[in-house]
Amino acid sequence: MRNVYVAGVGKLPFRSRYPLNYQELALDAARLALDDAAADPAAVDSVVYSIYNDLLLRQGTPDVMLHEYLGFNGKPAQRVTQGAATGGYAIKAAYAEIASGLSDSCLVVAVQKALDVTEPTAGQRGDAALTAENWTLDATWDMPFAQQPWALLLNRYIAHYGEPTPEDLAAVAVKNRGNAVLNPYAQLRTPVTLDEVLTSRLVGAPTTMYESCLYSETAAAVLLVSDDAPSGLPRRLQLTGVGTCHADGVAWSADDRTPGIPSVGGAARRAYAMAGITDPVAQVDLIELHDLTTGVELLSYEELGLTDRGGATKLLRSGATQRTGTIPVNPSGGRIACGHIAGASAVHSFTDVTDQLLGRAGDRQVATPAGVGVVSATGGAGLSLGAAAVLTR
Amino acid sequence: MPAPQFEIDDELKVVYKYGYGGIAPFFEHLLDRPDTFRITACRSCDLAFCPPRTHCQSCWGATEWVDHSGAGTIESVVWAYWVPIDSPARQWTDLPYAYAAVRLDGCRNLLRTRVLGLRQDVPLSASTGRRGRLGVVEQPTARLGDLVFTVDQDPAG
Repeated sequence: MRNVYVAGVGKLPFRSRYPLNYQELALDAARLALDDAAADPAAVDSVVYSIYNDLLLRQGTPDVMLHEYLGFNGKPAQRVTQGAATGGYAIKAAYAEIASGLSDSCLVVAVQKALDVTEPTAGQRGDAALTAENWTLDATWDMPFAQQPWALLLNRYIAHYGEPTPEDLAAVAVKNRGNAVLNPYAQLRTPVTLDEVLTSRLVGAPTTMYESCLYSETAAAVLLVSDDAPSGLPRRLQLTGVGTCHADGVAWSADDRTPGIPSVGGAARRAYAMAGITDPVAQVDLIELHDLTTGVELLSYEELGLTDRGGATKLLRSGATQRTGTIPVNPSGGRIACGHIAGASAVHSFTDVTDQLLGRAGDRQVATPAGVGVVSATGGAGLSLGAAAVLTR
Repeated sequence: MPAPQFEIDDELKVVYKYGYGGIAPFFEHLLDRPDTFRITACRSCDLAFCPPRTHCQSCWGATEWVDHSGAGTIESVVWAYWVPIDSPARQWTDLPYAYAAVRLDGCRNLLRTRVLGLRQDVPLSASTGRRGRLGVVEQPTARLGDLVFTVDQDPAG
């Protein structure tokens, strides 16, 4: 396979709602990525569109309309849609496009409107969006009750290990909310205390509202290139590993005694193997992962190899995953505070890790002596979708 | 104060009429409010499935229907204190409600369903492993929502 490099990235801040439509948001992010690479649209050989839920957009095959809007008619393109892990799968598709030799430059365009949906009684747009997204779950075997697959995973873990406590989980939210204060691209930039998290509304016990991801709109874009792309295009970072994994997290068998999120671990192991990562704590500077809830972040620590099975709570309590710790996790503020929308979050995270490794993350900059960062994403029914990418300076 | 965004109303109305394919007998059976449930089993692999499957997950061979008492064990549970205002769950139950991954005895896979009989003040971990039995609501409509798993009486009271 050929080497794959990051030439440029661009993103818009997460917002609760943009007055622009999805084509306009996508073009703004694509322009930023191309500007970052000092490239123009003619330099793009192919496009991967990272767009999730058609119900939220009121539009099937939005990639077709977007491709025309961006003036890319005639260029090869595909859409990737994989729940909240959509962006991670899109990055892998673009990687394959370059590594295989099909393209020398591939633009990933991630965009998602979310809050054009509403419900008629109280106009609760976030509620309507979540109800629309619930159709990602198994329509026969999850509906109408299954809003909490992540909670079943977490509570199975708690029953097995006796931890984390509610206070541990709340500490993850405090960490990520604190990180977002420093991030101008974050939607929620106010810190929160442990008490405030613990006394916020229970969603699915023991997880509270402040421990749950936001619901946002945004767009982000990444230009990946090969060695054979025009020499004027920068090779800022190398994309040294990608991995995806489908594994229904709430389908454990009777003899499976390992609580966790297998899609996250499966994807990470593939990406690590490609990138030569055998000891992530020593070899990786930072991780951006999908804290869809605080419990998902905690369980991901183990899946990403930051600690042994059962050691996630101890790792959290050690402070290692704080922004100033030995392995910062979600210095952007993550999905809980930076923002979240399934179609674009992982690509947004990819741009965050890129900015960190290039030393241009501003106030939220963390130390990157190893020059390696990891992006992890998960989503779908039972957190059955996992994606990971390793970026190397 | 930014000006209100210009918006129009719209509605995407889609009407479905659908069957369940080869697993329809499971749901049809619920309409009779039975004492037992129809699940599937693969004789070649000695595997049983609820949710039922037309094909064995291991060998892809055809499964056959067998009766099951509905007895099983909670493997993980959550109390749901919030659902979206327009969630279809609200048509079936008030909040909070308990929801669990239940393994019916002998089954390879897990059934995710509403649970009755758990106390909210008991730690979730103590509810894990509780035994119980599947039942059907009074007016079944051949949907997953028809099912409730009622835990056996707590010996500790």
